[in-house]
Amino acid sequence: MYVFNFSNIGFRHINGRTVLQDYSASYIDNERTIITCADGHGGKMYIRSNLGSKFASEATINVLKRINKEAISKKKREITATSIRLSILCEWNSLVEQHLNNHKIRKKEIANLDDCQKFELSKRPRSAYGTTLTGAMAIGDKLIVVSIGDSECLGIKKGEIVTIFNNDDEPVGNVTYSMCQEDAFNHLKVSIMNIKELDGVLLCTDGLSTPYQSYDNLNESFIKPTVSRLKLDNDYSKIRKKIKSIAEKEGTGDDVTLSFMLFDHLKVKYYRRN
Amino acid sequence: MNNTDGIKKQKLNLVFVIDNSGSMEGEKIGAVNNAIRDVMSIMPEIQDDTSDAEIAISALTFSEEAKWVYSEPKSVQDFIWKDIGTDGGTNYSEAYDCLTKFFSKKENGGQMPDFGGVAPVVILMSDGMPTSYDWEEHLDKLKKKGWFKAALKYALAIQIDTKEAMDVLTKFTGNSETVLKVYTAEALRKVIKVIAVTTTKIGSSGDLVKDGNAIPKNEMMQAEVNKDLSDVDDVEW
Repeated sequence: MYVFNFSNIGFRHINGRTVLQDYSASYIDNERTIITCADGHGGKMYIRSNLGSKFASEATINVLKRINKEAISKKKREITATSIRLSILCEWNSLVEQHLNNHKIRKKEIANLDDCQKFELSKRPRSAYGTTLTGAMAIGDKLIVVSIGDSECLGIKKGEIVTIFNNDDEPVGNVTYSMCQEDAFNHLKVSIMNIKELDGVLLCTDGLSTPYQSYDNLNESFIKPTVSRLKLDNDYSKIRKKIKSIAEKEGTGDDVTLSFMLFDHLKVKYYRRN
Repeated sequence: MNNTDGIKKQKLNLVFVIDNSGSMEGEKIGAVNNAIRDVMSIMPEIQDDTSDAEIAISALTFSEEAKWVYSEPKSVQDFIWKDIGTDGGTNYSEAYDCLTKFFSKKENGGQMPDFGGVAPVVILMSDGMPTSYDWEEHLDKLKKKGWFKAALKYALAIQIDTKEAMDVLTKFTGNSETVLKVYTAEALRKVIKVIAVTTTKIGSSGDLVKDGNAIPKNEMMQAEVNKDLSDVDDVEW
């Protein structure tokens, strides 16, 4: 299996002297492979979103590591999916609480906020850590995918993109669901499927998807060349170089993150460009 | 992989929705035709001034039925305005159905990007009441579309004086402050120009996606439009 994750700061954040707010990780053991990708919000109020995205990734890995094959048997799938949603949110909130207890929000951090934002943050300090989250775990012949917010979870199959979650009725433009909102449970989605349904799964932040605008264009211009070249030369450095270029030059200036796992049954012939 | 292979500028959709029913005949439709031609003459300059987004223009006409002037949004260079005529009733229901499809994502057959995007600008022009009885049901469907919610919506009430007809337009924009009563051809020309130019200028500047909130930008556009309209006579809002 090919497994990859990489995040690169965008040029708007470089110019604005802010930090990389995306976070990604991968975890592999004898039983499972996990990848994550999270996009900390960039709005003024989200002063610790770089940590929020890191905690989201950690929470996801911690929770998915506890899932065993039995838990995703057909009978238990629904209960397991609900339990994953609850556990990830509890774990993330607990990591945030812990951090807040040890590192109170300082005046310096909120110096640029207006009074409304300061008030909002004093009421709900966890908003400071606002982030999206996507994650995927391959275990046995099953795949578990989780998502909240506007980062993308894309399945690929025979050279086509397969959308794992329908997002036509999701917020648009610069509004997204977030781990920090009170009703996050209603928006955190989990899907459990057979690995054979897909050739691989890609997670990316909107810093990567937005410049390509459509699924077709993203597939033809980025996914297919990435997959076919990787299968050909096994060189991950070219992918990192491309992501760096999108983040620092070609894209919208947002941070860019890509994580993926490609399964062994993927046939490269489907990923040659049309 | 080429360096910028497949990477595109964000699109800012400017959508004209034009009532060309029989009651618009004569001076009213003439004023609309002149106004859009006028706007198009300065759009290349607006496009040159913005490096962040590509302005994409669409026009939907509706009378007995609703029709797109072009099947897809056109760039400033490719949108050539041909004068439209008038005929028949005012089928708002069909117009709203066309817009509902338009504001779906590309993947689902619409014109909105699958990823990212800039809040569109919609300008509805009408002089009367709907002749389709179920227009509110169709509007409700349209209002569920995320991109329609995010859009900056203006309605121009052309020589309308009844509260009933004004209410139809207010229900479309969701805000009485973005429904403008226009009484003369000259005022209509100026109003369309101010709205189209001001909103595309602001809408295409910076902060394209995410990080923050769409509402302040819409508020900023509305304030700018209102400021620019203060010099135009024969307009009420």
